[in-house]
Amino acid sequence: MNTEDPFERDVRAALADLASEPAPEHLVERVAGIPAREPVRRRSLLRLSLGLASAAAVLLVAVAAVLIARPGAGPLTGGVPLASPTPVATSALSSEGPVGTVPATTPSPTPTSTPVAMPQGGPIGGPVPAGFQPGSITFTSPDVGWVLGTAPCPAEPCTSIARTLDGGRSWVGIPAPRAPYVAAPQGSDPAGVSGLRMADPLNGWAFGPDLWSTHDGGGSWQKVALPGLAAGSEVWALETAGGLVHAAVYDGDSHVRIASSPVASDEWQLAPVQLEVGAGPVPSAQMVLQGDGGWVIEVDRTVVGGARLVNGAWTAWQPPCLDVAGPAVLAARGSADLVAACDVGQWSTPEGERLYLSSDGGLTFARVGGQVPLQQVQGLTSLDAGVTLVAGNPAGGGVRLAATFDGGRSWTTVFDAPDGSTVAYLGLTTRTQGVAIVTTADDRRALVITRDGGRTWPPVAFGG
Amino acid sequence: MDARKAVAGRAGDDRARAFELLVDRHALDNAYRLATLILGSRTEAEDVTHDAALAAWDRFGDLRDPERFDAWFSRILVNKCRDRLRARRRLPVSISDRAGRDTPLPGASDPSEAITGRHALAAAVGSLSSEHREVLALRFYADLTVEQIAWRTGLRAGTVKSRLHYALRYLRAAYQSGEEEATRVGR
Repeated sequence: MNTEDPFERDVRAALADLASEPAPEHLVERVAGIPAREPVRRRSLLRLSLGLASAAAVLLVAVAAVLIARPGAGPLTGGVPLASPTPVATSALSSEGPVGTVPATTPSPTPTSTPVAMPQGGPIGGPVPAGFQPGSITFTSPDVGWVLGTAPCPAEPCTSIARTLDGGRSWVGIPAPRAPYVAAPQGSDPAGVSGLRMADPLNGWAFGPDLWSTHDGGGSWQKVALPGLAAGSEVWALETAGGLVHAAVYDGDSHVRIASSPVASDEWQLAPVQLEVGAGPVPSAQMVLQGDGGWVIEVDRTVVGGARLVNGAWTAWQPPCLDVAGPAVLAARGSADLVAACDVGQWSTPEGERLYLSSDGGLTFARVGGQVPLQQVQGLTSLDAGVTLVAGNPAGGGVRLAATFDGGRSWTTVFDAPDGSTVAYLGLTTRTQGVAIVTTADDRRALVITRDGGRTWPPVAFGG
Repeated sequence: MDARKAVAGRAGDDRARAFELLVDRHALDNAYRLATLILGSRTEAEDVTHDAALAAWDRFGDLRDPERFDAWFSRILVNKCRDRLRARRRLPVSISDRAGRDTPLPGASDPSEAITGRHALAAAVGSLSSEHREVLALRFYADLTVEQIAWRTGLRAGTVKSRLHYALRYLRAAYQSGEEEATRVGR
């Protein structure tokens, strides 16, 4: 007879619900490669296994392993310029593989499935408002995601949020902050929100330039005033990882500051580091987080400065491509692995977009592959060397998503949109699943999703 | 006896083969899920699971008995989770600060949102401090005894019991509030 306390039974069930996802495929693949990819460590272990039992012998092997490993390791300190380019042929633009097209009109409404309760709380939600247009997207797992956007409504603000629990196949509308939706947070709009990030099913933020938070899965939203910043400050970028949320904030004067808070409460603190805004007309900040690592890059026509999250503290950082007279876009593959796409010479002698990699947390970068077959990169994402996706403008106009599946040696066009379009967001949730938000010349916005590692990008219907 | 462990034991000096057999899909799923619960983050769970597998490979020569692999690997994983938690500068509000207070119920202000006790439990688990979530996950997800948890975490058994007590008290408050709320809105 089962005599377990019903409460404890439900605790077990709740934990099982929370941990229902299996290990991602790319993790399984990475682990499977460990014995083959760690020759130095394996050699050490083999030597150990051969019966070097004495402590002195063990020490010798360890020292030997360090000495073997060291020559290939990168510098231990920063400030090292980019490595010499490695000439690798880039294939001509290819049309192989399916090429998506931004739908000319809002995707046809499709019936949404019956709303289901959030597994970890949050509002059940209702129908997505008719005419909903996406603006910013965030996923906390392959299945659970939220989109901030707008829909026609009788009185402003018309900001709306849609949520999916099945990877974008069906959506429900949930409450949004009572703030206007703004398309461009950095520059012209005095108030409102343009971006959305959720740390988990309960805690999230709508931002840019204002900051709002929810701690009940979007059931209610509160406007947040960041301490230590005067009126006129603007949140330019916000990301969350590791139980913390970080925001890059323009202080209303001449600096970008970084504020951080635990995700479950609004206890924001400003980091001492300050980034110069720069002298150009269009300053912007990008933030990327991955594991324990975090980076902020400040761009104002060219790369101006940066900050890096080291041992939990933001410190000044020399970002890549400071001296290439062009902007840069970052993506993080891991706590120490960064990818940068730099528009070399955009404001001097244009040489095109190039990819750079860092495996030491951004202290040094080395160029990889040939030229990226796009100009003015607007988005970059990569979780490992198996796939890197870039959004930018092809030579003939329009906007394009290009993918490399071989570390930048060759590129494939995977999505094309008409002239005048821009990519507002590009990101991979897993090695196979990713999303992009494309804005067309007539200001219509579409969400496209890939479930095959970036090869195809069908549009998403919200059912509104 | 677990077949994979038996085969791994026979693999003898072929360490790569033994490692593949033991650190298989099943072991990685278990490790990833446990790390997800302890860390409250799938991204970090992924990193930590990979780090634990790397560490396991580094120390594979220390594993004398494949039968002990699950406990051995679990201990490595828990230590990696603790390293990760130590690296976080700020932790969520400690459970001791919250126990006894009203537990916030996600969406409870909306009468259409019938939050059951189990849903409230899941939400409350997410707001537990990491040290309480750790022992809770090891006890009620990994099904370990207090003594086994003490060995995995390096804590004294009394500390494990104390943390379990406070974690359950906090969750019980959330659970009861959730049941009451569900009844109030007529689920």
